[in-house]
Amino acid sequence: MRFPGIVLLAITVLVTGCSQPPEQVNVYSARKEALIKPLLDQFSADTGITVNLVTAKADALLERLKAEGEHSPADLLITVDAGRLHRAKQAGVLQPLADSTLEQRIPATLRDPESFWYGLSVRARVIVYAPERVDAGQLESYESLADEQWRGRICIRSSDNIYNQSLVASLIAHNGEQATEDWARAMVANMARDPVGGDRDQIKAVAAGECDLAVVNTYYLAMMASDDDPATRAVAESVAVFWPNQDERGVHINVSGAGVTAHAANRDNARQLLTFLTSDTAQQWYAERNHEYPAVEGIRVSEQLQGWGTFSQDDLNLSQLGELNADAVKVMDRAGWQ
Amino acid sequence: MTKPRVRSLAIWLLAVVMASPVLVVAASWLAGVSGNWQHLLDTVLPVYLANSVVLALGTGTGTLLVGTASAWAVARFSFPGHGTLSWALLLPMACPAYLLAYTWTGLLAPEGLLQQALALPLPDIRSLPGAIAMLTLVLYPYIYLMARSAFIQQSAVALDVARSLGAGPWRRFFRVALPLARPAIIAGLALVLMETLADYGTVQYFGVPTLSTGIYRTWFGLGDINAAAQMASALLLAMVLLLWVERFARQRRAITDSFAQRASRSVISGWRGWAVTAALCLPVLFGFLLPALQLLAWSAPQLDSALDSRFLGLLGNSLLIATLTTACAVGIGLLLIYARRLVPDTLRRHATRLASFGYAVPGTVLAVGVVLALGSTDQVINDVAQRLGLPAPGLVFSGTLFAVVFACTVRFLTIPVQGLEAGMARLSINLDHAGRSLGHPPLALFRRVHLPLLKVPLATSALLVFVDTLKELPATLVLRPFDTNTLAVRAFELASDERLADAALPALAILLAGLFPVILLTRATLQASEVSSAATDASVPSHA
Amino acid sequence: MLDIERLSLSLEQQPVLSGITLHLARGDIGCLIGPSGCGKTTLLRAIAGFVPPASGQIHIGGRPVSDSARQVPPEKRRVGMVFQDIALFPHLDVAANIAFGISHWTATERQQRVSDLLKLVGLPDMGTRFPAQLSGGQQQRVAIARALAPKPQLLLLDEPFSALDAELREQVSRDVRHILKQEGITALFVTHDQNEAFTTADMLGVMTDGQLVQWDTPYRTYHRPANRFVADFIGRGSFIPGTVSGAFSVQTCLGEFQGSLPAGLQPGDRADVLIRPDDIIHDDDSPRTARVVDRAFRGAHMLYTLELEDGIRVPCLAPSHHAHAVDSRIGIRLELEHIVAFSRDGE
Repeated sequence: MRFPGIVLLAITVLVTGCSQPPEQVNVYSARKEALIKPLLDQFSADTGITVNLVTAKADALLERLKAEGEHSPADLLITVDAGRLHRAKQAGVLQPLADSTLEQRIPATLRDPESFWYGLSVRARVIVYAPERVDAGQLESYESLADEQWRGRICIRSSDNIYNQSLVASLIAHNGEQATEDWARAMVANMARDPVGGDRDQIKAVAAGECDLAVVNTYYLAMMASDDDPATRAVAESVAVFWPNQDERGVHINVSGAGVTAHAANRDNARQLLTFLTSDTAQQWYAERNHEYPAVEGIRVSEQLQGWGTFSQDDLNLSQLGELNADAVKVMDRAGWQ
Repeated sequence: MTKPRVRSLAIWLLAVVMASPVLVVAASWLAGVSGNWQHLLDTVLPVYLANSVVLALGTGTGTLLVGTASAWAVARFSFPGHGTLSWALLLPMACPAYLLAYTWTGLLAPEGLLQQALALPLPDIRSLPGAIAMLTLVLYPYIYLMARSAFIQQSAVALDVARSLGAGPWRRFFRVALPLARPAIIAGLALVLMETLADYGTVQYFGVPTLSTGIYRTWFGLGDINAAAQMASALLLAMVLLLWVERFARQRRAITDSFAQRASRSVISGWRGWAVTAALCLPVLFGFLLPALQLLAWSAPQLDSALDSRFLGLLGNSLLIATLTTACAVGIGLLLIYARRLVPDTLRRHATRLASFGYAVPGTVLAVGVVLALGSTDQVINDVAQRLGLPAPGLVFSGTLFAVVFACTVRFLTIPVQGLEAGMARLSINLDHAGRSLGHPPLALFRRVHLPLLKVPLATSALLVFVDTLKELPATLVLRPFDTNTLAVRAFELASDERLADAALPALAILLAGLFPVILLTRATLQASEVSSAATDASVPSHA
Repeated sequence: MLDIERLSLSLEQQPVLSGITLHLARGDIGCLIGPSGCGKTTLLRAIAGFVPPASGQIHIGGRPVSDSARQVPPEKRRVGMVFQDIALFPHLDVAANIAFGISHWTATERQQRVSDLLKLVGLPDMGTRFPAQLSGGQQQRVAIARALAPKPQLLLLDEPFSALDAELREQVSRDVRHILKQEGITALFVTHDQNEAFTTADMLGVMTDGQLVQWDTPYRTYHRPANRFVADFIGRGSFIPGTVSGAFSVQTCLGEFQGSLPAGLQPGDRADVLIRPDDIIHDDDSPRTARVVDRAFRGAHMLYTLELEDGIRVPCLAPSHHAHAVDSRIGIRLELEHIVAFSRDGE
């Protein structure tokens, strides 16, 4: 009996398993390749350190990190959500990195109190509305979206989505679970349609008149507004942005961030990369290219973002979003939010 | 122990290795029932279940209708464009379901091609019926492929007898041809249902909560990977039941009679012929041509800039992984089936069953099973090395191309196993005995008799595995080595970031890369099936 | 040439063969016959090496191929095999099918052998046809040529003619006997057709329930059946009851018969005497008469079923020009060359 398949596999293992260049840093990233690779290339060009990248869903990467244990090649874990960084910290796959430069540049609310991870960019979840059908004066806060006046007028995506889970987790942190569940029920009642599609689809639905309000992340709107396709730009221009909760705690935010892994073999290179990602150049790139808000203060944001003005942001400890994520999902399950 | 017994054990161990990721997932029950089950039962699980059942019923019915009808038409009739349609009908399977979902959303959007061209208000596709339509378009080729060869291989005699008894064409189809082809059709249906229940991308984008999205939601949202794995293994159990039903059907499968005369195709001419052609063009149009056009329209503006060496790298990786997986899956499938043919003992019978589970588990869950299985293997290797005083080898399997190919092989192994099992069953065991008594040991016999006679199922399962691996996403995404991208990964990352225009080019490349093997292998299959199956049945009498 | 000693075999824990012993001389044609499920095909497969026996020995050409120590694999036994379902390789033409077992010969030898065999089986010029293009009889002849090609020591045929229609079957079986005899091949085949067995075999084995109950010439299995089963299974006949009247005689309603009796039968014991259709002679002059219950026209003969005085029915083969109507009485007389009797109370 022969095992030709096994032989073939053995060869591929040998081919791919060998040859490691000297100076390198290995990155597991939940941030999509297109949204991180240019920065990493820039880093390699500046320092001569090779960056090896794997991108995948954060939870799957976390499982991979856990399974690989102390032999994991990963040095840096990048996620697009503070909750996942919190989970990674809980799972023991990150190590603290006390670094005065990093601590100076990243505000305390945007990083782990014990320095296991640092926020790199900020996204805000805002309300967009059709100005011809909605008066900005009618809008106030996330909480006010539960008002009767919005019955059948709101578009928002599915509760599967981490942005909504984070938002609801922040509401639980501020208002408690019962109040948030009532709010979620009212939201479901106010939905113009069953949750479908992504954030862009909600914006399109407002533009098409299917609903009057939508809750979306700012960068989706900004990207549509700077799209090559004039039709897409027109959609973005037909809606307006409202910053909720400005009179009190501020708009709900979440961060993308990174932490050094517990068994990082290239710890110093990882630190260098992390420092680079908080540099002015890198922060500027986030703002210009991805239309995110920089984590570092004083960086100029993109034109679109400038047009929407400044805002105050919720300074809730982001770790709490991670801790309350499961409760948020259960609240939405009970409220019948698909 | 005797030699065959030792070999049986080896075969069984191989199957256990192939099943290990699934076993890891099923082992989640060992940790006790998760506390989140009560919450799930009280709130969302009934909805998940209802949606999954409707989705499976709808997609099952849809694929049965489209797949069987088109197979019947192609196998039994000649009409304009018959040659092209016979392979073109396979094309929609080259498209990943989630991409079709994104593309159709774009086509039907108010600013989309179709809405613009037709100037009619078109329905919103993002719904449960829409998901059924998408999955039907992508999956009917499985049934078409299986049913077509079953119809082609049916003897004319049965149909002529029916005719002599006064049965019209419809009655002949429903009372004779369809029951005779039932095992093949049900085998195709089983694959369809497994893919449907494991689908995540389409239903997630369309906002249809199913068991599959529920599994991910439980994992990602509730952070309870254990409950997610438990849900996945419950889903697996349902699939095993399906497989069992399918196997039951195959056991009662009638072998075609001896001296069979192939029924010739009757010619449908005039407007009726064109009507058949038009009807058969519809699934190709909706499942392949229109989406491909939309993708082309999206990618046209950036065609020049995007077609660089990195793009070729993506294509190369995709083809490499697909080729290796096809070789491994078909090779291991052959090994398992042939081993069982030689000595049909319990161990070897269980081996083929064990190896068929991977298809039934949602991709990312299976990928995590692979991560855990390979990760702990690596830990063991390092522990042993340490104990022996050797330098720790680090990760031997995790994070290598091996991991990706292994995962894809585990996932798609059931395709060659089932295909070859059915193909082998059609060969009289006396062919083996004749060859053995003529001085050929098992390997020589395999090379000179089985391999040539199994060309059709081999080509068919190789095609399915290849195209499926090209489309495969979750396992590749999670398991790949550093800096290894594939077309599917690129297309998915961009599409899920709602950058459809950028996703279009890699998506188009998946379609094209899937197109060539479809054409090549269909031609080879058709020729082979016309030459050799005509001969095969002639020496396999019904009472063998 | 073929020697089997005390062969036993089980499949899936079910005993299928037990204590089979038989010897087949070089150049002889043996035949196994028995009801379906009696194990005859399994015995053939065990000889070919496809199923391992539990105990016992098989020697082929004096060489042990199967005993407790070793199992020679089928491909090394030099045993040819012909199958019920013919099992030609559908993807190979006739010549390639025949040459399959001699691929290690030189090309010239091979071509010579193939064309010789094609001539032998009466299919010259058919080498380039494919199996599907041949009739059933032609396919079976190719299958025999294929099995003969490597010059096997022993040829096994598993119901080789059952896929053929009755007319063809008789002709092909005669042809095959002719070919085997001409080539001096030792062969063993399995059938459930007695006529086939009688016309083809030198030695006949009767099997039931995994046992070989008699291994003998066809003549002796017919006229000297070893037990009641063989007597019943082989040929036509019926039993008439009687009483042992002496050391060598049995008294029945048809008179007293003389002959050797099975051991253990004592005068006074009840016994059954086998009556073959050809034992009862139709004789219009005979004082003894019987009533015609049924008749079947057999061309040259008429097969009557007759009822004796006390309701016992016996067969009678008479020349067909003696036509008697059902219910008429005809004169009969008995001509038993030898007596075959079995104890009434069990065997």
